[in-house]
Amino acid sequence: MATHDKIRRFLLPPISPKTLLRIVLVALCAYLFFGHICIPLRIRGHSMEPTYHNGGFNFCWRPAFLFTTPSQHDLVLVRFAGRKVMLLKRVVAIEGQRVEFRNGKLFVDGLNVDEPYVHYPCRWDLPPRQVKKGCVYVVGDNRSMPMSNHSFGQASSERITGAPLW
Amino acid sequence: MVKRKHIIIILLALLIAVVAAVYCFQGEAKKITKQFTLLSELASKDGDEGNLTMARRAQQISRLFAEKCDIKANLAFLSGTYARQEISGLAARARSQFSRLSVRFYDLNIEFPDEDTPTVTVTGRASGRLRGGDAFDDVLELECSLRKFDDSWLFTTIEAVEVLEK
Repeated sequence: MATHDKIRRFLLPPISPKTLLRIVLVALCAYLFFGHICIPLRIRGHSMEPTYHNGGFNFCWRPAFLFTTPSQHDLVLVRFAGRKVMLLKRVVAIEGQRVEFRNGKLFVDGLNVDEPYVHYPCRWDLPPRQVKKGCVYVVGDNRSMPMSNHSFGQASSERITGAPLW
Repeated sequence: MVKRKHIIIILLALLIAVVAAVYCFQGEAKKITKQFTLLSELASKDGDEGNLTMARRAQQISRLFAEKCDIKANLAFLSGTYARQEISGLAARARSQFSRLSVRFYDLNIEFPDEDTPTVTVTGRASGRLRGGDAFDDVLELECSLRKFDDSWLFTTIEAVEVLEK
């Protein structure tokens, strides 16, 4: 085969019906997997430092809570708006429990909770409140900013989309 | 034989009615989407505007709203029932705070619980620069109700969905 024919075959290979079918199937599987099961994410914001950094990359693993419900210390992705905007937070209390912050320390049902993932100083004071039925209480790991600048609180369990893959 | 003929005619008529209803609602859904696109275009600004342009834009924005519109937001001063003229003033004051503003709506989910009052769940994104120079980028989930007045869909309720309750 002449050299230019070889180059042309390399750059523009002939596509048989089988190859075309394989391409379509791969594209479909990729769409289903990355569009609905393992959704790529870009992390924006500092509320989960140092666990997750601003600009970081991860995936939302949707089957994470398919057969279980989130429990304390679980990392979750909460649907914030539409299909594309999610909050990456940590569950600190589940339904029925009482949550409060005293001088930066988390108390659940009156007991101080050990949080090894919180590295930065926190001075929050939040009166006790009960987590409603069907909700979980989520907070970020970075509590060094004022409480008013940090998005946290109780969210409906129905809004929990999945968990970060790592 | 006659009975079978009647059944076929009835089924065909039903099928035509269903297709017409679907087409009609799709047509209405497109009109509603157009209202959001229009609101997005009118609310956005790219650089300073003259007073006349600002007033005209505010007036055009207010025409997308019904005579009375309920706004429910996390900010207490913003929540309330507004007349169309008040919406015009609100829009003008809000837009004047920004040197650059981009308002976009996406992930529209339109439902017709009844023919006359659709509800729309939408992601609203506002980004740009304040007059002081600070950049901002905010996302919210909104629940909107519309009603048809003289063949135009106008906003009657806009509610910011509170995802996290402290």
